[in-house]
Amino acid sequence: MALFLRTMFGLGIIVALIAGQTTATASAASAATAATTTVTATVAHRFHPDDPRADHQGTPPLPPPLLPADQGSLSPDEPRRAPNYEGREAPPPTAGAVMIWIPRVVFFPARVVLEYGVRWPLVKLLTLNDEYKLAQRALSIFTFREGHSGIFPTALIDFGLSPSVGFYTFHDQLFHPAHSLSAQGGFWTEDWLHLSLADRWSIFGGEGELVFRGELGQRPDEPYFGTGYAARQEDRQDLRFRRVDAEIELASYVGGLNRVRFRLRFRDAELLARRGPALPGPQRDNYDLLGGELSLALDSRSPEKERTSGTGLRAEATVGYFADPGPRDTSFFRFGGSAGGFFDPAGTNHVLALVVYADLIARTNGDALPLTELISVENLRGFIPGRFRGESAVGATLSYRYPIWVLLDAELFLGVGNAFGPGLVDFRLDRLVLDGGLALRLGVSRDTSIDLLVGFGTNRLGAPALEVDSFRFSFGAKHGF
Amino acid sequence: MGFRVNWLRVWAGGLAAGVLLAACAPQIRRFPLSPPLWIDPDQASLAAAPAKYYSGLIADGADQIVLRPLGDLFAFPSPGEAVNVNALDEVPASSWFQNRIGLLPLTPEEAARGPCKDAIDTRGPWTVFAAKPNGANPGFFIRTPDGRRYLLKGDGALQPERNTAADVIGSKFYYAAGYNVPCYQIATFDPRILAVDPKAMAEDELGRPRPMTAADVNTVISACARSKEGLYRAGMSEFVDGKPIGPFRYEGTRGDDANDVIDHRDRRELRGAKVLAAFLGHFDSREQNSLDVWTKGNYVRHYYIDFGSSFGSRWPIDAMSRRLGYSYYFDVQHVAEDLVSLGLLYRPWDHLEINPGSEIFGYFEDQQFNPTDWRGGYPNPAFQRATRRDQLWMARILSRFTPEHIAAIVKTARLSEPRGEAWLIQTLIGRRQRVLEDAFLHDDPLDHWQLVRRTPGDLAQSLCFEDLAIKHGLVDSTQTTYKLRFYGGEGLRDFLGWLQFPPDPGHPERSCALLPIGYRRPAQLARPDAPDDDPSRYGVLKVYVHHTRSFWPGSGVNLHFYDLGPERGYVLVGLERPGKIEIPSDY
Repeated sequence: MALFLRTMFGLGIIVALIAGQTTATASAASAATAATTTVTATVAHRFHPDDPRADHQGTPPLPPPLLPADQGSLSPDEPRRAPNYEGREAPPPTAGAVMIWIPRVVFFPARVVLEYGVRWPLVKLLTLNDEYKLAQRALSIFTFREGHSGIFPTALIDFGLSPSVGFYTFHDQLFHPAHSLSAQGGFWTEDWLHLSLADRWSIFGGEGELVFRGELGQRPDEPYFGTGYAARQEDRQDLRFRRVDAEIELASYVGGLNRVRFRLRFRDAELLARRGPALPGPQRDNYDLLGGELSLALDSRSPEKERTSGTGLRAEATVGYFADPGPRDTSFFRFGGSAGGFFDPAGTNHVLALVVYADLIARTNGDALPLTELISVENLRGFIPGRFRGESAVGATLSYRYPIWVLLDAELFLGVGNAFGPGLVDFRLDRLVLDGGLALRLGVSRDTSIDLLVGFGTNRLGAPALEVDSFRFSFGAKHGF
Repeated sequence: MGFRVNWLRVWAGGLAAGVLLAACAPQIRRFPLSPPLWIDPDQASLAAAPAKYYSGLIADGADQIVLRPLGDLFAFPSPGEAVNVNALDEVPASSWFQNRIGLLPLTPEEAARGPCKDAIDTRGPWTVFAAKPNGANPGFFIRTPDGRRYLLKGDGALQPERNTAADVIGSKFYYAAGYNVPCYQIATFDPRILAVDPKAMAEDELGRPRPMTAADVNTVISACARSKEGLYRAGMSEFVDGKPIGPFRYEGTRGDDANDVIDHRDRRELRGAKVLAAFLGHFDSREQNSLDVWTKGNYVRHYYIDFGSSFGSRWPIDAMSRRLGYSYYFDVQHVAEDLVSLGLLYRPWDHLEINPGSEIFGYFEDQQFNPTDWRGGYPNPAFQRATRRDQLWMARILSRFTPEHIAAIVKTARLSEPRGEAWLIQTLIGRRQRVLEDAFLHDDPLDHWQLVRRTPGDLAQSLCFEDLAIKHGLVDSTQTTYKLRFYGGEGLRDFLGWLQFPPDPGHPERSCALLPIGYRRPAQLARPDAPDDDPSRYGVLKVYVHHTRSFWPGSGVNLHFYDLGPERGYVLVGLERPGKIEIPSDY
């Protein structure tokens, strides 16, 4: 048994040795085979498509890195022929390319006029202006003191769409860096005259202003429709008034859009003529008034429209007292107030607003007020100024203001309001009128803008049929609400 | 007996005949058996220099915003593809453009160097010899001791370093893309090396020449940003060789340049520059920021200059700063839309924020950026005529800018804040991605076509291509399928075979298909003695790309070949990217 085991053990060792040798041989053989295979694979290796050793015959050549230096010469009369870039014939015209010639031919005269009668000469003129600064040179004729003073002729500025000629002169930093003086005048025949002079001092670091202002105005188109809620559109008559005003105003922002203003005014006015029936009631054909007015505005919004929300609240209050300094015993208080809420949900200056307002006059004696000193409802922008006059007024306006361009907003508005007797004694809801419209408002600040407005107004809400009886188009500055 | 002609009937008849002819005209347009045109020979020597052209800012702005649209009201222009495009849908080299990164290798270092050769000698002295006459940013011209001349400009207080960085970085991108630009570099210098030449002239506010003074120099250098060492940082653009003759227009041709015969609105390199301008936020890409130069070779070379509006220029009015790149200075369409819609349309400029930590780059960002909707300051005639193929061409060029290229180029601006530099690099990478998405998710993403015999000695040819949508991670390669259909014969009506395959997961961005597709090849349809350019050897391979599992392909491309037989193989002669994909009835 022991011999058998020793024999088997020895045989096992021999077998193991042989197996190991065989394995080694097999490994070597397979290694050799692998090596052979590797060699074979190298020979048969498929190149990456980008490998420059691969055969790229048939692939279009890449462009040369540099352009050839010599490309011949051309004479000025013979422009080069454009090469056939693709190397093949041009595509046939499509049906659309043929049909388009119909409108081209039909509108050819208009095209010639626009292209050569409008575009070409204007571009030439503007190019000359750019190159030789023609506009600046023309302006420099009218300016002096290094541009701090100037005097310009004006036209069509003072009297709306009615003609006017005049002048405008300004003098900045005249006696002091914070001082400026300006004057403006316009006239057209003997009926139309306007002169104004303003002496301004910037105070409180530019937040405030002290202004001495004088104005003489005479025009024959002061509208008068009657007094109180019953005044009708068809009852319009034009009054020819002359006014001389002298005013001292002190105004200042006191943080954000909060503003205080005090005004002292003297007025001498005279009714020169009227076109229409006699004015009802006792009237004052001429009068003087001296008085003062204090206004306070509180506004929670930021004055900067950019990067700030338009949400906030605003309230304004005005109180004034005026009296005739002459022998006539006319005197009265004026009270006015308004409150508004503004909602800008996205913070992108798309603002929904509701503003309510009320004004009233309290006479301190029994004399009739001059009709031009009655309250004139200016918040009904669908009507011309002076449409509604009375000793009190009330109204509300809903508006939506949204940006359409840099510094330019559009505003849709809808309002109700009217003028009434003393102390709103005859106020009724059905005696209000409706107005509405669209304004384009250009401005940097929330409370000041230059407006282009198209509006409409209706008769009283209590009328048998609500009708639009007024249209308005206006352009001018607006301050406040 | 009289004879009357009813001209209206004659004209209508002629028109109807034209329409019929157009409808019935043969549609096969074969490319020639020749290499594509890579050189556009527009540098022939001219007898005299063209006249100098002056372009005014107000005149050009008014013309492009109001007058040209008015003039075009009754012109009924036909949209059309660019003219100077070769058989491979690429642009040949010319005095306008040179193929660089789009087709040829360009390392990040080469892209960063751009056209510049040597650094500026800041030891001085620098002689100030003239003031810059116009433009928003003041500057002056200097001469260095080695005789080289430069325009020096600062940044301004509102966005220190942005303007000069934009000039340098923008110029490098334009150069790498293939355009001619001057060398722009950043220099930091001690102002004491500046000396005003006694003959140096400036202009007053009315354009009248007057002697230049030290105050004029101080006005410019006071706008320069200061380094920590107290040196002044300025952007310097080197004068190019030749005589400037004013800018080029983006429409028409220069009438007294006999080499200039292609309407500029129909030049692809000008149209496609819209995408590059959008990528950089270069809203001021108007004709005044270009330059024609009369070279020593007596021809005109065309340059792009002044890229300082890029990367989020901020203006005193914030509302304008927000709109730059999204709306024209005065955009009639947007104003009218907002007016009528009560301002309720979504406007991206209402939702922009200035990135904290990178305020100098204003509202420049990559989230709201939409390359298709991008607009410059005012309309550009060539940009407005850019087709999808033109924009796709520039997108292919931009796809070759790797993050390493972008980083290398941005670093040449030597921004002092590493955080700002890193933010700009990331934003440019993001904007590039938006450009690629806008292009390759909607149009042909296949590029870099090659015919390759990949195994030496093997007659089998492979057609290989790159899928840029997969390469840049825009689509899922596992959802992608390519369908190929080969047509041949004289009328291209013989259907020779089809193939359909997904990308290889091992290298999904690159695919190869063994030719011939199918069992027949065009050479089998040709007579044995047919010449190489015989129509019977012609074939068209229509490739349809599906990036989603939908029936309709997302895009397609047609490749045109001549088949010279099994031994000499196929020759690729043309490539078409059709605007409208038509699939066969048995698709």
